[in-house]
Amino acid sequence: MKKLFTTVLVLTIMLFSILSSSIISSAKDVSPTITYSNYDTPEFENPVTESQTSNLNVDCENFGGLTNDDSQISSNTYYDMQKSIYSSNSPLITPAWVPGTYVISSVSSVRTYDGYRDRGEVASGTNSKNENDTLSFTISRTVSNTFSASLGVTKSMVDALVGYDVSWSQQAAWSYQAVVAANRSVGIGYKDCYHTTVLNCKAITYVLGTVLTSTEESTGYADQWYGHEFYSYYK
Amino acid sequence: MTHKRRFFYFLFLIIIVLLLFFYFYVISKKNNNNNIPNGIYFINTDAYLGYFQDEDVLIQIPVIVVHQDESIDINSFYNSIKLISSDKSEIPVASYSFLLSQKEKEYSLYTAEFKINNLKPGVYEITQVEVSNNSTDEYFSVGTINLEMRTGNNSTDLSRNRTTIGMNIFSHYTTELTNNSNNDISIGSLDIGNISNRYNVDLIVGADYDMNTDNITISKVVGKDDIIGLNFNFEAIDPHIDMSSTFVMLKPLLTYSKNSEKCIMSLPLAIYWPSLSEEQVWLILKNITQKN
Repeated sequence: MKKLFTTVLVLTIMLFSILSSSIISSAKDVSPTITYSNYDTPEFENPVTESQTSNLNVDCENFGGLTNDDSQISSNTYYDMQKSIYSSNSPLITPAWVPGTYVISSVSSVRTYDGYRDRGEVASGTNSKNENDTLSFTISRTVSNTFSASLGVTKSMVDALVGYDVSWSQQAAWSYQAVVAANRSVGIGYKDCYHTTVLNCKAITYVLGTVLTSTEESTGYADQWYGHEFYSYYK
Repeated sequence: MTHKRRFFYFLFLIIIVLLLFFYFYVISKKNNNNNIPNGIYFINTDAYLGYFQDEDVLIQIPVIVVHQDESIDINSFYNSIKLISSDKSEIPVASYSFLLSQKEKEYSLYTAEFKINNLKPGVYEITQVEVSNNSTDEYFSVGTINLEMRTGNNSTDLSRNRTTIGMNIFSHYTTELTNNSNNDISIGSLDIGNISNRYNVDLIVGADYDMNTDNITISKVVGKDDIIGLNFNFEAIDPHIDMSSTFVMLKPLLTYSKNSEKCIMSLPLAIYWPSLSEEQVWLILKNITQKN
């Protein structure tokens, strides 16, 4: 009888533990709406137009930003990596022992600025009444961070440098109402706003066993989406 | 008690315990996300809306509808919705409707749109909505919406071209204007009413909406048939304000002078509502339910 009681007690405690943990985990399960695009094929776009607006101090964590801790770790890792590559002027630091040609790529930040890409008209409507009317627009778009880099600079290197996920993307939708004058057509334009970092991509080619080195440099960018702007106009 | 009876007694106890756990599990699943009940929640907004009497008055309020496992017909959820000012008087609403922006599994984001007709000139401070069901009336805070109704008609000296109507951050208001009058017009300032208590305004002048400044003399005076771009930048006076979760609505008034005469023009409505993550939505709802 005592054994039966102990067994029942143990079973009850186990069940309680299992159910409690499942309840707690389900309560915490507020899954983020962020989805990730294929970062192997970065989207190449025209450079961001520098805006005349004042700089904004916006918390970008929701727009693909890493957490402070992650960012710190990535930055340190990148710094250590830089140190290991550039700690000596000698090409013997190349991480290979067999004869051949080796390329070491690196990336650095040239400057940062806030800017936008104007996507042009995304909706339009006509008020055919003889009085003012309110037109409603619901616009859905995918917003994303983007980057452009070359000379062997990878996405993870750019992530570490800028401190956010340069391949982040998210689906977003907005609704607007616009009062339109009688017998007029209105257009709705759209701009994506970015914090842009201009990148300097560098590739140093070493030929092991010789003193031959060559350096190539090119410009890239990393754009962190932080906002959108809709504008209206009569057509 | 025989062994057999004791065995069935303990078996019965186990079944009861299991049923209790199952019940609490279902309840917790149903009311996860901080136990926010299903319903309609109005979000607090800071707003200044400047209108002339010949304009259609439109007030928009962001709304979150929680509908976890059920669907809610938002348009028939309430029998009536009234706008209430800070002195507890009612602002007469001609009609209202809800426009869906985003639908998620457990909640949806809507815009509540209120049309107001024949409002007398004056300044109205809307702070609440009163919603009526079959049996009960409830009040929800909507922040501070200052509605200024000015006498007369809107100016036609300047016609507006591209103009900001919405952003996710309250950072700037940009408009491109053409001088339709036969005189030079000197641009003055932007009247943003109660919003100026919390934000400074800085004006940048350009050739157009894109604020191109190449090969032109930047001046606040615009000649006949000329175009001017005005970019009003807003900066929070309190640097700790969280711009990424602040809801602002602005329909500003532009002052200008023509032949030494001071004139006022009403500009289009712009809404500055942040793009909310799911976590932010539940946080806002938690704050609303705690206040109520």
